[in-house]
Amino acid sequence: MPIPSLFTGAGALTTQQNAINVISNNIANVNTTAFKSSRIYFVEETSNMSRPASSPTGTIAGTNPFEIGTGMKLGDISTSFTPGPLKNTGTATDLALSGSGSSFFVVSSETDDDSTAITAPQYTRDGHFMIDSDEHLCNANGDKVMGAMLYDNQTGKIRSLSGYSAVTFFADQEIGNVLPTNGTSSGLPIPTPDIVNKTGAVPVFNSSVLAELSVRGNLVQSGVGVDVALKGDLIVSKDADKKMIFTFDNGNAGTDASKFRCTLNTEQQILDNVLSFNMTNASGDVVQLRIRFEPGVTSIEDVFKNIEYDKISESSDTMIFKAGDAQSSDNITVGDKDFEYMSVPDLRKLMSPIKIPNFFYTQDPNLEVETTNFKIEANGSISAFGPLSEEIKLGRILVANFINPDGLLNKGGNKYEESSNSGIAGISVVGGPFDKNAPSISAVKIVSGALEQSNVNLANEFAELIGFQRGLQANSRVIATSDEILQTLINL
Amino acid sequence: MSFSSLQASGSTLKNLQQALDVAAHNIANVSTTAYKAKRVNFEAVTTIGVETNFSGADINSISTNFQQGRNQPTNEVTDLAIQGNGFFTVQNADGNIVFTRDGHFTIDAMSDLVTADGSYVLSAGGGKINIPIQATALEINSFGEIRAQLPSSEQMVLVDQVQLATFINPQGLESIGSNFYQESVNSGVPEFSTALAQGTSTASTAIRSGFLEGSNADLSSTFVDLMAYQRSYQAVSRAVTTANDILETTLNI
Repeated sequence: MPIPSLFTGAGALTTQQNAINVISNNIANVNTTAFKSSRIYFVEETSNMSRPASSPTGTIAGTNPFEIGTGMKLGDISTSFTPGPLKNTGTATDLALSGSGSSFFVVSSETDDDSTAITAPQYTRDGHFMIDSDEHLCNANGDKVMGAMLYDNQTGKIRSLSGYSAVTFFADQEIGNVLPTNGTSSGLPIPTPDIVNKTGAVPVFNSSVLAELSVRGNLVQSGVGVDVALKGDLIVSKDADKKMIFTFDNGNAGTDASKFRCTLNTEQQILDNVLSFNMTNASGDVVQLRIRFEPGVTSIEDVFKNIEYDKISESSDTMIFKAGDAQSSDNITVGDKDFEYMSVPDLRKLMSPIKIPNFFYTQDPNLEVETTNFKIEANGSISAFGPLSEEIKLGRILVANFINPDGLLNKGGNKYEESSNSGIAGISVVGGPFDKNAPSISAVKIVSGALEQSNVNLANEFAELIGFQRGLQANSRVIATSDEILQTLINL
Repeated sequence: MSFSSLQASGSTLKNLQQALDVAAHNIANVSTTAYKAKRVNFEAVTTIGVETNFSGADINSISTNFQQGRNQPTNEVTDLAIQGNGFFTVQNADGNIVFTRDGHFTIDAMSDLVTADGSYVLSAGGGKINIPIQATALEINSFGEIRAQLPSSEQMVLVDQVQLATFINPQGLESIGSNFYQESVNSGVPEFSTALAQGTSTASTAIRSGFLEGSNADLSSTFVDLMAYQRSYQAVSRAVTTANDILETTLNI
């Protein structure tokens, strides 16, 4: 006839032992690069109720429940993703993520240069990287580090950007000198590289879906003419119900007659890649706006799913597609937009292994030079330098962010994998526009020449260790006492 | 002399064993977040008849000591300690509203504030607490107000406020394990409020972010209890053997 206290003590003993295992793992990893310490939490076991509570009846007072607990159990083991201190190593390929503890480098052992999508991504904060014989940036385990590569090592050219929904992402000034201006690969307008919006952020427009913007109208009322192609700006904003409003302004200096409006709803159909709808102005003129999209765009959601309007303040939520010449398709620019919340859901498609080539072509397509040096900047942008300081921007390191990094699976080797409770990896560039699935990472910086150290605090770990050891002793004492009581009982 | 002393001793042994279980439970939970120590209250069992018999010790109640545990720093913003009375309200997987003082909360993949076992922490409005995913930093003040740093604004934006609940008789709550309590017929109905809300029963209760309430089980006093119960057990068992000896003597007359 064992007594419950024996099991109470035994259960607690096991859990305290687990706690000591967690602490010893933390202590063992005090010098492990980018190690994140874990912490154990206990919760009470369920109680045995030998008498439930009774309610007061007016004549008889209520009684409280009569419960005898059965000990404690493991509640949670959670990882603290606070950033660890940085240690300088002086090696350019040693990278540390500073600022936020929940951003990760993306590595993959299975993704090749010509893969169209990243396979088996893993996430790590251990930035001890090196360059292998294939010119890949990889970790000590041989996993390739992922980024968005602009420079094509095979052809020596800037990659064709068609098919990437976030191409303008790279149209920032620092990388602009290598982008083709007014490029028209597959008829796709590529924003000119000198587009920078008012706030200086990188302009983003989902240009892969937009092939033509034209407005044709019958402006009888205003006397402009019949069926003419109009020049003007198309402004997209939202109304109080967060519906999208298109306003076409043909530039007649702010007169109401020049402003044609319509509210776009998601029921509107895209037929043969063309979305057309009528807009009216204050005078009752009607114009038809035609937007032709790249093949594959079949619904309004496809076009605008990348734009998160909810989170944008009223004052800055206007996006203008400037159509300098309404009949031309190659001069569409984007401006006047605070792009911070622009989501980039297809950024994964841009991911490929980062290569730092031994030789590269300069802007002269016939001149190939040897890479004598390279640098990785705080925003993750990678440049190579030739012997005469010729510079080429190779691409950028992309990082992953998770809503709940605690939910990641620890795969050993300082690597983590996505789990059902970590949330989907939100892929972003450092400091860039954000994937709407990802937490913001504006605080993150990549530090080249440094490694993140373990965030284990030895003093805390020892204090906890002592506490758990005492807990273990106390519970073994409970077991001994229970045993003695059994002995007494048997000797009756 | 009758068999009654044997029976009285037998039931006292059983009660002492239960008391020992309670002490063992307290010892097991010295490191459990926000654990509230239990205490066994004995009463003398008397039978009033022709003559008054004292027939052992009975447990009249097991009470919970709801005194504040020591708050221990964890430096995690979503770890909350209640300084004062009251409970967090959470909605568990069955959809039931239960109560806890264990404020070890995390943010799940849907960006909701949850407990370690995946129950939703409820806001002052009674709904889930959803943290904007763009938040670069979180702050929870003593009112339990959650503020997030969003890229769109310079100041922190108020997201939600954590709900607290109090009971007329917290002793009447049923402990359902995993640091959760549920309402019982004798606890009274929960009164919902927020920390430091004037005119409510949590007017002097503050939330402390970055801390967890420690267990209020005191190892030394619990050990004293444990030893006392053990010695009482031995003493009562001695009474049993003595009574047995007397009976034997009587039978051998």
